[in-house]
Amino acid sequence: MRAIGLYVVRRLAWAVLVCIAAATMTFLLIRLAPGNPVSILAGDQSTPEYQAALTRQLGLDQSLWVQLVKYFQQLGHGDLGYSFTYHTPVASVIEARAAPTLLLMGLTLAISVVVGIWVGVHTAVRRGSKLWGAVEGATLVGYSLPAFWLGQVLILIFGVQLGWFPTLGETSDLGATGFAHIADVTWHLALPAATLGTIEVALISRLTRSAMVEALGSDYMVAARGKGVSQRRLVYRHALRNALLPVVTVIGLELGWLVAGFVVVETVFSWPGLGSLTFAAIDARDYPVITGLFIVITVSVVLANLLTDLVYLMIDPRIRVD
Amino acid sequence: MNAPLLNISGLRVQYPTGDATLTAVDGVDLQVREGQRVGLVGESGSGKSTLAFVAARLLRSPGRATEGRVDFEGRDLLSLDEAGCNEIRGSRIAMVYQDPFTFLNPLIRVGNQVSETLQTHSRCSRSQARTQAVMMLERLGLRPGAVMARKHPHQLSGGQRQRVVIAMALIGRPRLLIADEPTTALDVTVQAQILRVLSGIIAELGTSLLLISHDLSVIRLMCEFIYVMYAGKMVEFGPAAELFTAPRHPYTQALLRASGHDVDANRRFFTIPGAPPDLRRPPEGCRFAHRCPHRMKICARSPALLPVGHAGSHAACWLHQPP
Amino acid sequence: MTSVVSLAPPESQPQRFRGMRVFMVNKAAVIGLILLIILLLATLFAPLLTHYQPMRGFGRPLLPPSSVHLMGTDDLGRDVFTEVLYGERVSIIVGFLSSAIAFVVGVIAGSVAGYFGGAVDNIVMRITELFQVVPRIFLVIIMVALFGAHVEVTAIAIGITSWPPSARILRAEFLSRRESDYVMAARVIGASHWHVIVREILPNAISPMIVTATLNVATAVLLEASLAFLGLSDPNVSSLGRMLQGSVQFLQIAWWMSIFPGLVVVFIIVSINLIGDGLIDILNPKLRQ
Repeated sequence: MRAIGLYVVRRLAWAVLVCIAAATMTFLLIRLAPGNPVSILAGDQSTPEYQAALTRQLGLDQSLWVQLVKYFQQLGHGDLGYSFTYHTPVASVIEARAAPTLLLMGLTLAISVVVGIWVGVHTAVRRGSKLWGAVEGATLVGYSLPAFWLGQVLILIFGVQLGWFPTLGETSDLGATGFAHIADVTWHLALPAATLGTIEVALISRLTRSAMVEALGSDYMVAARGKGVSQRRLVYRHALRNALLPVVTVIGLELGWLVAGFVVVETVFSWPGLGSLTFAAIDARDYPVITGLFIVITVSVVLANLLTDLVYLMIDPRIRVD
Repeated sequence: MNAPLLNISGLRVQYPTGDATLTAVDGVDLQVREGQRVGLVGESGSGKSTLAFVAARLLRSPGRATEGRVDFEGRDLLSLDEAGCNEIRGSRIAMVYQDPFTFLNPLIRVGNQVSETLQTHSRCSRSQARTQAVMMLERLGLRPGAVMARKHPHQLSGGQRQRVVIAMALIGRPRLLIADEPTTALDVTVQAQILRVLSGIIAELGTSLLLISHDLSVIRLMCEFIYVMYAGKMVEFGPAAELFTAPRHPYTQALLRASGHDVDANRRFFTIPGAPPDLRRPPEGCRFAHRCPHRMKICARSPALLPVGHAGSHAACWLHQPP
Repeated sequence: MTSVVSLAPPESQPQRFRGMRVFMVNKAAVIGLILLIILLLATLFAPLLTHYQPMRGFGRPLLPPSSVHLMGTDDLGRDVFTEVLYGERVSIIVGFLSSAIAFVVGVIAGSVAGYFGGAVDNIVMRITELFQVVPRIFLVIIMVALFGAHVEVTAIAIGITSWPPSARILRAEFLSRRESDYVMAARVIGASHWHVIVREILPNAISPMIVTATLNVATAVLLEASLAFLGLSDPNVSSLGRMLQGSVQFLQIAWWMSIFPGLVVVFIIVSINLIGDGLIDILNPKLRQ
């Protein structure tokens, strides 16, 4: 047990280090960029008074070390800066827009993992079948599709031509409450979730497939067959169990890709979450918001990685001994 | 004379490789009788392991048995579909493998891997299967059984893992156990232990044994009847005592000398010069001819054949047969 | 020790063209190669294929595809076909350039970490992990927004965030070859570390990196298009990603503004992925069935 405890502590320490490094990176980038850090962080439209106040607050007229210290002091208090486009602290801007992103991401991820693994298992086991061979080809295409283009295609087909789903925003009926509201949101979720989900399913199924092929070719599969174990049990109890290990690991590594996904998809569908916030902030060059988002999302990804690490720990008995 | 338990006749096993087909086993006959311990000896590439896996219907594709029969308890295994094979595997025929590390599932506790055989075949409940698995582990020297059953393969030593594999194979009380190089991957000190354990338990259960090995000392310890394979063909067979004291085929003789660590006048180990033929384009005559010290003209032209039947000792060699 | 499938064919076939032949057998990879060549030729010969100038609006806006405008016109009256042909350039250039940068950084990091091991390996691996965990698109967004959305900046930004996976692969290769006989032999006769790394180990270890470098081009193209979609592209040059951003508001009335540029991006990415898959077949056929 102690070994696990140490492992968790090590991963936590590493997580903290990553967050600090990420914050430092943005800190350095802003100071290395062409132009004045003051105008970068205060915006072009800012008044001289605001610029002076900001300079004082961040220590922009002092040495880099002082600036760094002040910066981390701020971060320690949860202060991510002030957005000059929204005229509110960055932290509140982000907080206000976080829920829709969590909804979209959470739902899509949950469904994609289940569907993706299912597809991956079948494309691995039924390699001879024409149907599953075609599906495997489809996953290669699906995995190569730009999320923002796929979104537009889905809008064209299902939104414009067929009119089945709404194509904009989270809700259409602002007055709806309770069940009607849930239905409204669900309808709006459909296309953005389908966009992200298609690509995620393609990715996860390809991962699962290659892990399954490897597992299915292992010696222990021969031994299990040698016991007369049924095909079904061979695939799920033996092969999939082992194949999930690398799948979990790689999903953890691909989280950065997921971030890119939801940024562009939210922008295409005007889904009022952190992704479309990113787009708006880029448009306005509101760097406090951009860097604040970067830090928040890095922390989230790091936490998600910790989670997958723990999941991996639970399902692989070999690590527990070290 | 009752029918043999396992009767392989005219077996040919091939692998497609690029431009040519490789015939790993080329027209081979082999028998195992009830309660008999048969050894199959040969070097790497002789086809012996291929034969073993085909007998259990576990041969990995692209290998395929293209000709011949594998009759077990009267039925030709090669004609069975996968469901039919699954019925037989684990309950009537079982296998022990060379590398106990890769042949055990790293994520599943060994006790469950052993009890899985029972759960697949018998009507007993899960807890009953688990209890029996624990008892089997103890019978094979893994004590305390309950504690060992909860371990994972990586927590065990090589010898312990192989005992698990043996338990996994024998818990279903199969009539035939096929052991493919069961001690090759183990330390020398552990080899004898495992063989002793194996010998004890198959005697107790009355299981027949087909033991495959390149190691003559292992075969000598365990088997009463021996087949010798070379380059995909059977070259000699006979009762162990006779084969070891008076081997007939030059290959068997050479094998015995090499494994006995004979040294010649110059204190050099005895080795067999040359190499086995390419099994994609096997020679017409005897396959051992180009390495044989007693080679005759007829040997390169046509191979001597083994007589039909599995009694007595015979060698596929022109030295012992009229041309 | 006999394993069931140890009867491998001897290396009697000429090794030189074995790779090519394996590649050619993989039909998908060949299709990918042909597709990529077509796309490259199309953009190279753009001035011959279209008489319109890029970034200039000559025609009436929002015209559907016709014989005059093969892919219609956009909201500013620009010929979409022309924009697509010229827009390919940025995507392809950024794709290859950033992959090359990632390759170089990855080779340096991976070989140093894998060869020297110990503390050096530890530090390099921590840095690699850092770059892998941090959300790449944000880092690139920040860099490109701050330093300007020029082709070089975009390529460098994408390149210096894409090197981790290839560094890891190369490090693994180095770690396994570090103790080989030929390395020992070289060190014994006094070869410098540099010589051993570059002349002895690298040529043997480099092939998996080639696959990663190829696949990196695809991810870079995707990333560049995404950036352009988000508004971070050079405003003076045609760009497929930016076209896709401008098309969102006109989806209801001008589907051609979205479909064609998107299709070309997809074709570039798919063709490179197919080629990459084909390369995997050459280098490690055991992984595929």
